[in-house]
Amino acid sequence: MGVTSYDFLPENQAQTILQEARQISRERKGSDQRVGGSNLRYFRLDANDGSFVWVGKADQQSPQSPSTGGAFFTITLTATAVQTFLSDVVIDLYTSTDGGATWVPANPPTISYQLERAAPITITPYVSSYLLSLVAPLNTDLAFYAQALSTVPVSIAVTRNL
Amino acid sequence: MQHSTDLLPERAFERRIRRIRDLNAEFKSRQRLSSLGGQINYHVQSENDWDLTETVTYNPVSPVFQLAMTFTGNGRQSFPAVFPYIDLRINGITDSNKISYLPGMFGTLGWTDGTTTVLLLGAVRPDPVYFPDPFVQRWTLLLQPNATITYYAKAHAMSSSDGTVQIARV
Repeated sequence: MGVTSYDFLPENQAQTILQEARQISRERKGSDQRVGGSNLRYFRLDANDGSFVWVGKADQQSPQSPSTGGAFFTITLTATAVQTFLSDVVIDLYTSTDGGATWVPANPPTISYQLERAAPITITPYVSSYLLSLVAPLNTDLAFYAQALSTVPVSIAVTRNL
Repeated sequence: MQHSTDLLPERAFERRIRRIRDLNAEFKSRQRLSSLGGQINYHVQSENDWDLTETVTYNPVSPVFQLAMTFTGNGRQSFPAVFPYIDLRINGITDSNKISYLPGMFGTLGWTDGTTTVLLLGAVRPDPVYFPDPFVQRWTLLLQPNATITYYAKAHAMSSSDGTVQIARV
């Protein structure tokens, strides 16, 4: 299946979809692989159409270190068609020293984050949840992009918990 | 493959084709839990309501205890992708007994009712002992209560291979 730069033009979408359907059908019919089924295909989704998902301050003060602030989130991927899917989430963290006029990539160790699967909490059909912790000097301006990679089309929601 | 313009009236034709493609993909798959990605994934769990229920007496000297979850594949796929989940509830089984971010604890996960508090020490960690095993994977989770508690645990796995899960206190 040739991929050309025209494939994503709106007027070519019907054709793209038919090509993809043909490809998936071929892989299913012909495959006899250890991984079972056809070749793995991932869908990528930029949360919030590629804009910052969240802009704010690390304003949760750490009880142990009063000069340290944090912000804590749940990121939820929801699929419509499939109960169980494999997925992953990445974020791209930015910081600003001029109140949000310009943003630069945030670097450890001053600003750091942890992103993990919500493994100790629960499992829900159609949903995969992740926990995100941002840690920075108190009241640092922070913003991040989020991107999801999954084996089915999903929607993404970011909720600040603390 | 989802776009904000998908719902425009002039996209109706495209939507129908996409839906046919999706249905076709679903019908052809051999498992109930199939996917448009071509990957068959499994939600592995036991038939028990709760795999493990136990009252842990508070020991002020060493309050920490450990749970271990094991996934054993059915042997049809070596080194499958497995994501572990432990549905853990403290002192009850309602939603309010679930683990969450503790208020005022700077992102620490745990459970509290105001007096009894259980802290999760770190994440659900993979056990490197099982890394060479093609079919078995194991994870551990540390808990630290400040009083005697009763916990309810059920192991789930999202995986690319079918199998079984167990959970035990170790």
